[in-house]
Amino acid sequence: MTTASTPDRAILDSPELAERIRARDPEALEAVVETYLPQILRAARGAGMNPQEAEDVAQNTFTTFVESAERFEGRSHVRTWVFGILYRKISETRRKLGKARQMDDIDEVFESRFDENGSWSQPPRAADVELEAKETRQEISDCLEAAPPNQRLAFVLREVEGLSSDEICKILEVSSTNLGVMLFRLRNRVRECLEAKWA
Amino acid sequence: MTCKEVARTVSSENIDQIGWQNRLAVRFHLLMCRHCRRYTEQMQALGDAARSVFQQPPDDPSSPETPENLAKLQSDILERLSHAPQQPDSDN
Repeated sequence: MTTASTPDRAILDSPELAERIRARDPEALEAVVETYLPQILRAARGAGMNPQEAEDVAQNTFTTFVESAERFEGRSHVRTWVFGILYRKISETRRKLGKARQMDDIDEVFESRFDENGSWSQPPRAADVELEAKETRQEISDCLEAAPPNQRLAFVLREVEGLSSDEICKILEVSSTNLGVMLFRLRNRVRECLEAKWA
Repeated sequence: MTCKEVARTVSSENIDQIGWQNRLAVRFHLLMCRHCRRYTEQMQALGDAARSVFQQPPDDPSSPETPENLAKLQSDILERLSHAPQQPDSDN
């Protein structure tokens, strides 16, 4: 009998994890699912999926995780592997996710905030907001809606799950420069959107 | 360093990649420039807000993130995985 409510999280960092997953060890599978399912559901929501889509993508992610366990060699952390599968599943569902656009409207909006010397011509407005307030949370959710899913996923992995930039680059298969551009665009898009709402 | 360069560095989070002289220049600029300080605070507030939005399940009772739905989904997935084939089926 395994301890259903408290799986041994230490399994996730053990050198035998890859082998135990390949052998369908129930304790190892339970540790992976119980640890990463909530994070996967959050990330899917962050990428803009509705509840049914999030549930489906989580199911498919774990199915592929086990089916492809033969290729998991433990060189990267299991979390990187699982989130990499999730990213590809979300990409399949959201075709437009694909390649980052060379140019984005927000680049021009950002440029327009500065004069020719690079100083602020339209400085950020002061806003006294209570971030815990329900209305503010709703506003931020609304502003996130407008952003492309890959930028949203990068942002959620960074800010909500607290993953390192290096790990996110591996998950999304992008360079650190590309990740910087994604985070830059997402943050400025949401900032502009919120500032417009507070105007 | 200009405000535009500072804002880009702060929002793309590439401060670790710009070398120590530029890092110092960003810090110095932020001490001197209240607009860039405000911008930086807004970037941090965005992260705080995102954590506040996502670290609790949505109000929607159909969300798989409510405690009951999460527990059910978890046991469904584990049940399914325990029957997963050892080798992937190439037809699937």
